[in-house]
Amino acid sequence: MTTFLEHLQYPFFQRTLLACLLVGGACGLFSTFVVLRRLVFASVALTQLSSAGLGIAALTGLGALPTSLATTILGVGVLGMVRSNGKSRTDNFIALLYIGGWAASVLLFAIAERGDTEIAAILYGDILGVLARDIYAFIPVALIVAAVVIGLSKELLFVSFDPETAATYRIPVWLYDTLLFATLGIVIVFAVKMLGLLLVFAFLVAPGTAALLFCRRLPSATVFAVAFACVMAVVGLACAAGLDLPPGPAVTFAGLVLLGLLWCVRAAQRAVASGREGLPSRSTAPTMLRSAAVVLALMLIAVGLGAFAAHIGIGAHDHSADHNAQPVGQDATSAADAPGTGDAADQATDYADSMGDELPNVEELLNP
Amino acid sequence: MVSDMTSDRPLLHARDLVLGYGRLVVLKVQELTLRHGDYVGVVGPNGAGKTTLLKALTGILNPMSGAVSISSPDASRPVSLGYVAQSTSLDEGYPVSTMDVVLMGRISKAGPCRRFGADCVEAAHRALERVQMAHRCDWPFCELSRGQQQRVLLARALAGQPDVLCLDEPTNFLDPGAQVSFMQALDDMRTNEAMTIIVVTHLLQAVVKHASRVWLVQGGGLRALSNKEDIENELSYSLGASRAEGKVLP
Repeated sequence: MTTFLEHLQYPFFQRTLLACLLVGGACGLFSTFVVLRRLVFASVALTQLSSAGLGIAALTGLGALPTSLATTILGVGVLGMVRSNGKSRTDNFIALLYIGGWAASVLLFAIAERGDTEIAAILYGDILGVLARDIYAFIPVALIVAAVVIGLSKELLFVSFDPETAATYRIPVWLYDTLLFATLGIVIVFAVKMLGLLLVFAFLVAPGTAALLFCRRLPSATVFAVAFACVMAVVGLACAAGLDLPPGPAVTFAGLVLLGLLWCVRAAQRAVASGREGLPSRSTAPTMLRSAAVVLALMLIAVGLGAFAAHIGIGAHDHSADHNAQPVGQDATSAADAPGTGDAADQATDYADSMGDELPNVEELLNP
Repeated sequence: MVSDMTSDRPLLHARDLVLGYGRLVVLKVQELTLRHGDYVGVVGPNGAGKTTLLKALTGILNPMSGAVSISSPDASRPVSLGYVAQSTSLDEGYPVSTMDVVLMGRISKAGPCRRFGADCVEAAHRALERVQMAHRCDWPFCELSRGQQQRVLLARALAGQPDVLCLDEPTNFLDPGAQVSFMQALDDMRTNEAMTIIVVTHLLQAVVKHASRVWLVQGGGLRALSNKEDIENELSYSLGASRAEGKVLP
């Protein structure tokens, strides 16, 4: 905690915390709807399309925000059309959007020759490099989200809960759906630019999941989700500061750990309540534990097979460059000065070292 | 009271309706008229198009051709509809209480960007009392039994004080005693509140007893029966025919 407070003296860390709280709060407002409406994969597809927009910007030199916004809104439009056509297999289209967004972003960054480093910055975020102007740009977005989610909560709830009956009350279901998706898309565009895909996705899913464990009404679930996102941000950044970890994954992992703890509390509550009433337990804990044991066993088998394969020499030389954002302990000035770039030089050196003799000497090729 | 409100102008009129999904035509209706205060029972074998018809009349489904026109007896406001869907295809994971669900029926009255006022809450309470669910108003909707959920959904439809109440197999999850009293309650509403009711049901005896008219949906078409003897004769005939074809009306 002391390290966390010490880090809070640095402006870059203050900006990081503020960005996490703002994005967490905005995504937390949405999170319950995202989980309830099974929009989890739709939101990850939109985040991927947003990164494809950033790829277009990298390639063409256009502004990152307009291109990212354009691709995301395009995705929102496709999503809206597909969902309104009840006969379509929505999940397939969402998967195609996701795959398309992913492939497009990788290809575009590769063509733009900003490859791995830029992709890594988008994926994992460069949250220590958040700029003040990004935060200022996000504030109106957060206010719009709050206005939409709070102001239209009863309409959004009705069209989400029972769209067929809502239509008989002359409620334009398609309009509210589009509004929800479009607002979600805008949040994603601005948030991904600051914090990266992974963290934004975590903020969209974990808080709502946690809220629905405990809350029996939408207003309380929304408040819970926002609070959870803020706690997740603070705990994650504190861990990152204290343990010198990359902050984006640390916040994401903190969210998962908190979610796991809350799930345990909820399972215990249910077991106690069932025991008190003399009813058979409705808890899913035993099933979950059995499933976890099976998964663990399969993982151990897979690891064992992998180790055996490595021992007998099957498989190519494996190398994975460290794509993570820089740890918190890195020099504050460099973190603030180099947003979104990561440590390109170190990665390039690592890569060259890893390839060893397989690569020709570039200087020899250029100056024979 | 019903006779006072009944005018020559139909409340609902449809002509040359073709209903279906995609390219599949489910039902063709030449002409269909509903007058204020009617209690219409829609009967027919499974898959005949009863629900499709109800969806078209409520505006959920756009006809492939033809049109449904609804004219309000009160020119100052549009006709308000109350609708209870066939089966509870609702996601039970939603964090909503019984009262939240019933208040949805008042959404048109509350207006956008505004909270439900005291009048909405009062109307919702009254509706819950009518279906004997007032004691469960704070309960999570997901923790109610199917039968209770069905009654809450009826309360939601009633909370909006509808001119036309459209019910799609509303007695599905009710016990036999509750089914009979439910159909009787609908008859009382029609009599006391001049409500127009369209109910899709397989309770043929109740239809014969309470409904003023019957729409028999069968073989891709619709026949309107208004004479009591006709209704009894046709339903018994249709029931026999359906059984002979292996399509049993429960």
